[in-house]
Amino acid sequence: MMSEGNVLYAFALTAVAGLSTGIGGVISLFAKKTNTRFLTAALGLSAGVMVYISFVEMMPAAADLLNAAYGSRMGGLYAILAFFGGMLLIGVIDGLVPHEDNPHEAGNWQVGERDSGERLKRAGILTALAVGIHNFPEGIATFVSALRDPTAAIAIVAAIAIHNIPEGIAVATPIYHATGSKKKALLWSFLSGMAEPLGALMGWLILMPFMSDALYGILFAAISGIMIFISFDELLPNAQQYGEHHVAIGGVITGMAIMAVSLVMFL
Amino acid sequence: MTGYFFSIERVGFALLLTLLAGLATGIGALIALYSRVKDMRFLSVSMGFSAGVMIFVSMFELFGSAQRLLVVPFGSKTGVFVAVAAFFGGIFLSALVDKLIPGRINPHELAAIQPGENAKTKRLGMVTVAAIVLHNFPEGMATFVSCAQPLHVALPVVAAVALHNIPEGIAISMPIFEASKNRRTALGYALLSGLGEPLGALLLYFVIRPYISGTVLGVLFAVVGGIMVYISLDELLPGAEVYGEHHLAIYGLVGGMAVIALSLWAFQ
Repeated sequence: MMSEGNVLYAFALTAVAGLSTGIGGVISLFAKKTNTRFLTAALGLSAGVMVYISFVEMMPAAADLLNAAYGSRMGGLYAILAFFGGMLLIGVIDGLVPHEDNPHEAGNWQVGERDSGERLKRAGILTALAVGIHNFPEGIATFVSALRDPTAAIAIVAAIAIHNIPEGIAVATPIYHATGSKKKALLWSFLSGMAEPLGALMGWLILMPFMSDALYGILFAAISGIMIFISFDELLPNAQQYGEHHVAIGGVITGMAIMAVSLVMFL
Repeated sequence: MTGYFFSIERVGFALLLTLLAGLATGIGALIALYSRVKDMRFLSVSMGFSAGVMIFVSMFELFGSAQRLLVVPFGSKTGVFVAVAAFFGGIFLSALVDKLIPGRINPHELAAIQPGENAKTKRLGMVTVAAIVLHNFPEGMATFVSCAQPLHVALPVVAAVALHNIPEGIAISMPIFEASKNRRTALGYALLSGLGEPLGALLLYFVIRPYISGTVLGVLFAVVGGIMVYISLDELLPGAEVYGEHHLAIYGLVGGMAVIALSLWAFQ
């Protein structure tokens, strides 16, 4: 199962997901005006995909794996602890990043022209760092799921890729307005996405020697917690902020439906 | 499980719990009309909590139960498909009810009802009263059907529904008090809205009673899961953000998920 081909495939998926921050960078430079309705629906969609796959696919899988390893009593407890541990981890990371630079707490992506160049540039670079830091666990998440379940991973990759697009916009917009250089803006938006395959690489080097069904179970539960927290703490509020409430909800439900249909089809 | 659920004592108990959850709108009205509490941030936490319980129980437990029940008659592929269809059917049903009831008088569109702003509510016609009662039918059905689950699942759901009815009671009673200047009228409408829940439960019971089976229960679990997910996303989470800081809502959400997860684990 853990052939070199699989590992390469998982890396490739993670890289695609991470580097779509670059797509956001490109969009922000060439789009005359950001289409906020589209962004709202896309953020909602991304949340729907992640919430659905976490609850319906990954948590039951985690519980099964951990029950098999530790019995239903301790197995269930470990699944719960890992789930909330994942939430705590991403919550702490989010808390450590200052608010105005935190891409997950958007609302300040539309940069006014009054802002001075230096401040903007700093904001852009800090945003890039923040995006990079939080992309780390996302990279591990994508990589581990791709390794274990290549089919389900495609949906996760799509969800993470979609939500990386606005993050790329968040990085590129202030840098472009500050420096006037499209190259620099694109470079930084790509760099922030690089953290994703880097996280995967770290995950592979550190976790690989210990890989077992039980560890997969723990990771699945933790990743579910991370994805659900990101969806409710960041994606949904941002989607609401960007546009009409019902566009965001429509996006969430569409995301869930896409996930549901693809899971039924590949069952 | 199905035989037990549809024993008459069990149905009576489920209706009683649904009634209690529904009447929590009265608590909201009392807070709004008689208390001096100005700081409404506790509502952020409680609405987030309520959403956490509902989302976790719907997607993990109810949807799982639905799949297990539906795989028996339909086989693994079609069974899961029926569960998925029923889940999205529940979402569609709630969305439809919300759509059909105009925003101005729909207590689920919290932002639309701000105290003081609405002079038109003076003319509370039969349409408004009917809308206030009707909009709670899906919620009542959801509470009732959740009571077919073991108590350690049913009770957190009942608590979540009751908690989320508190802001709803506030949302209904405030504009009515502004218009009528009568506390009793405002309280009365809030309670009326809460009564929509046991009424919806009763209606559902009489409709499905002749067709009771594991299959029907499976479909109902999935439909109800969809209803609760829609309520959480469309009403509770945005409402929680309106009443207070974003992070309070998230703490509530995570807390709600933790309570239901531990309850599922402890009594498995």
